[in-house]
Parts: sequence; C-alpha cells; structure tokens
Amino acid sequence: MPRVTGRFRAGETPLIDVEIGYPTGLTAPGSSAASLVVPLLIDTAARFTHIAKDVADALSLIVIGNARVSGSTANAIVETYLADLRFPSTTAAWAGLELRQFPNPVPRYRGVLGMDILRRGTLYVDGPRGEFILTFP
Amino acid sequence: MPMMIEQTHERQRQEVSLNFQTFLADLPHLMTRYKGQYAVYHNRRMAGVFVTFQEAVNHGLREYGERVFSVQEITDEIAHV
Repeated sequence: MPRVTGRFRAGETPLIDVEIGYPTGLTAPGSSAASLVVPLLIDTAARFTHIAKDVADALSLIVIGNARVSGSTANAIVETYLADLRFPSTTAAWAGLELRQFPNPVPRYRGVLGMDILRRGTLYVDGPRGEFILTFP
Repeated sequence: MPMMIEQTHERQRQEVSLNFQTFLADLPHLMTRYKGQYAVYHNRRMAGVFVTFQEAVNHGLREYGERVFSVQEITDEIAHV
C-alpha cells in the first residue's frame, strides 16, 4: 500500500513532496524537464490541486483550459494543465490529470494538494507529534 | 525556452482563452443539461460533451492533436484556493 509520511513544526502547515510530469504518452518539447519534484501544501479546503505557473512552464505542460477561482483577496482566472502526478518513492501515481495554476505563489510551497488527490487515499494528521501519514489503496 | 516553443505556447494560451470566453457564454445553456460533465472546445466552438475529463481529453487529442483544444468542466462553481 503506497504510503507517504511527513513532519511539520508547531505553527506550520504540512507540506508534501509531489512529482509533476508531462502527460504519459505525449512527447514533451525537447528542452523541457521530464518531471519536477515540488513541495505542495496539503489543503483539504481546496477542491483541486494547484501548481505554480513557473512549474508548469518549466515542464511545458499543455494548457488545457481556464478556470475561475476565488483566492484570499480576489477572484481570478487561472490556467488548467494536463499533467501526471506521482508521490516520489511510491507507486502512487496518476496520469492525465487536470491540475490548476496556483494564483498565490509563495516561497515556502509551489502549490496545493487538493481534495481531487486527497480523496483517493486516507490522510492522518497527528498535530501534537507534528506528523502526517497519507496512504493510498 | 526556445523561441518557436514559446510562440507555440503563446498561441495555445490565446486559443484556450478565446475558447474560455465562448464557454462562459455557453455556460447557462450547458448547465441545464450537462452539469458536472466536460465540454471540448476547438476554434471557439463546442466540439462535444463528455462524462469524464479523460474522455474529453482523449477526444480532443484524437480529433485535433496536442495544444489546439480546450476542456472545460461544466460548472458555475468558483472553486476556492
């Protein structure tokens, strides 16, 4: 059973490393990276997984649409991307997903892991210990 | 990023953006029959509605190739992030 564990400090929100890749079966433009591992915020309030635009650009991901989102300060129209997603060092992986542009880039993380992925597994958060475990069937 | 790839991506973004404007105009009608499904757009025209995102993408790739079509979820929800 694929299992991802992580730790977070008091006062911080948990981050998780995720590998984003060009869609399986399609040919990435020559100069692009095949995949990138980026830290995402685990966000059970987000319906979708979002990644920073510079991550999508570095992978030359296919822009597959637009979407309206509401952020902490205002509504925005963001890009949606066709991409693969994998948790490093596990077999938990999905191809051909719709990921969305993260409209609020911050230095600490490069997007959010939303319920579109989290609902596929079980998330256990131990606040006092500062640990989380994410398992997938 | 080499200039040719950059130009291709810019054209793709313009196509997607124009398709999105058409989609927003179509949305009230689409919501009455296809809520929660996925619409494929090509050249600012709706090319079909599919139950899943994967079906919509496969149709777009098969009919139009990479980077020249859009897939839009038929929803009036503005998702929080």
